[in-house]
Amino acid sequence: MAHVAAEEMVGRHVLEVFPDIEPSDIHAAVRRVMAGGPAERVETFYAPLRMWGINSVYPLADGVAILSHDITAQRALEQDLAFLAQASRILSSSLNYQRTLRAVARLVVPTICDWCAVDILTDSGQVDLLAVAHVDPQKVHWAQELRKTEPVDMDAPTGLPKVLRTGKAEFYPVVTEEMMVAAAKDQAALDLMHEIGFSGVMIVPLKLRTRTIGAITFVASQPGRHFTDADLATAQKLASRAALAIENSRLYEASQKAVALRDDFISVASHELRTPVTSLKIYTQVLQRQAERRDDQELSSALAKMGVQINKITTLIGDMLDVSKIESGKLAIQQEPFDLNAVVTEAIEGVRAASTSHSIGHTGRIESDVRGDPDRIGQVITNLLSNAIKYSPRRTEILVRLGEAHGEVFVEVEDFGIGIDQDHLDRIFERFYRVNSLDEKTFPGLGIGLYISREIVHRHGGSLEVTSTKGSGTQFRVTLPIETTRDEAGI
Amino acid sequence: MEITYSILVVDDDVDILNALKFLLEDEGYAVQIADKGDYAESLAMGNQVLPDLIVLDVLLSGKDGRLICQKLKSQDETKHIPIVMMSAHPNAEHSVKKVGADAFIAKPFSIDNLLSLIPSLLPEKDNPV
Repeated sequence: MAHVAAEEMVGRHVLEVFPDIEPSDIHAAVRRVMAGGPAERVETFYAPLRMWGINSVYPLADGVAILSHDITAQRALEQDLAFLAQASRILSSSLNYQRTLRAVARLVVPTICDWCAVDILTDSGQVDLLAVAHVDPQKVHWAQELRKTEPVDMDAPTGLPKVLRTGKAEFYPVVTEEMMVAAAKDQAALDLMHEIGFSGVMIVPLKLRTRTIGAITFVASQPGRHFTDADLATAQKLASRAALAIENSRLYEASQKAVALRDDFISVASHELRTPVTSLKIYTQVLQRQAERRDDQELSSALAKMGVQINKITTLIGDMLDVSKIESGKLAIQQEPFDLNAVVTEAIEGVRAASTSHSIGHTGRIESDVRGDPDRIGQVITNLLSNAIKYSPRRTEILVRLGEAHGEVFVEVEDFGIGIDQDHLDRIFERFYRVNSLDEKTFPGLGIGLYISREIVHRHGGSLEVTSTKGSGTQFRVTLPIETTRDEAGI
Repeated sequence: MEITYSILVVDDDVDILNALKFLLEDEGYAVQIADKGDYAESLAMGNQVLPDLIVLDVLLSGKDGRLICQKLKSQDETKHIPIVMMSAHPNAEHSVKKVGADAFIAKPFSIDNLLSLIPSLLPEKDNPV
């Protein structure tokens, strides 16, 4: 075995060379084998040397033979991998990096070290002690208080400030009394070092590409406990995983902020656009009425076209407002019994008035009452009809079917246009999703109509589904629950 | 002689007010506009010439149009004046009817709806104002 020279061992009793063995598993195994038992294999940890071994104990005629195999390196590698796997699990468990770093600091104590501290550089260049871990919670509290009274001296030539400046690890595998005396600037500092207890120190940087954003400090504080090159390698692997987790978390926060800003902007922009568009619409209509009175057909027709365009803008603004209402949970849905047949007929007539390019066939009738918001359901049907027209530029027929099945009512809107690729089919209800493919022209739109429609239908307790075959058409089906209180209410 | 009806429009958005004035004047009405609720409220004091109809927004800056409506409808001098309340909030219909409004239109409103609604609320008149 290592650390003890062969000549010191030969001819001596095993308990003389390794006095700690007596109470161990190996000693017990030897006794059993000597008492006539079969050969045994025993795994041992020899604490004074921090060594792992596998020992085979074979019976001989006049005693036992023990073959020992040092597996410390293999065991260290296993532990290292298990530790890093656990650290990675913790680091990826949440996007709140403050929380995960605290958990990591707790994980390394006491397996790797006795103290662990995580420091992060703030935007203003200050050092923020994010986490401290020690087996004794009182010591954690003491260390946190100490940082308040003794802030980090960023100009200090060694230690944490140097690591933050250079981005290179500081490694003191064995700390001696002489080293502490040399490093302490005064007696108070030396007393503090004794209080913490230093037998080994590693400070490894948290780096994002080339920028150092903080450091993790590992301190061994038991006499005889020191760090090895393998410990440093583990610490550095842990730090690079932690830095990655911090970056992910910061990127996530930044993206969430960007999304919130976008939603705010959409809300403000659509509110601000509505008033000028409303007054524009009023002026245009008044001018059109005046032109009609004067029988000025050219002007009247131009103003009518302006009106159609203004209505398109109004619809787009309304859609944007709806999206921000859905996002903030403020989309209001009325609850009243209504006639779905009338709502569908009205939507068809509205679309017919705006577009003469397609003929819309209409079959079926619903006898049951439906409960909800007729304006919002009308908006859904109008949206589906507008899509059907938009995506069937070479065909002129649209079919609308109403019916009842399985205790529900349905409205189907079918076109025979370009259809939707299967790859896109699951995603067309996503907010801002638009089909962009190379082989067909891109259709204009904000990509929010179907998102709003599905939300409205869901809020009614119904469903909006799609089936499509690329090149031959698309069918949307709105299903709504039947109002069941009709008989009970005696209407 | 053709009778001219007077309409008071109250909305805190001046652009919408001016557009509505343009629209209603084009229809032959005499139009007064106010961007604050104070003027409409002061009608109840009997200081102004009373309009034949009031178009009143629910959401006025600093004031709830419904309170003004309630006040006008509770005073003998003004309770006969038809009031059309408008709001961007579609659920406001119930609450405006409760304070005595004669009609409700949801914003954004259709101009045709507004123009067909107004004559149905105006009183028969013998003499021009």
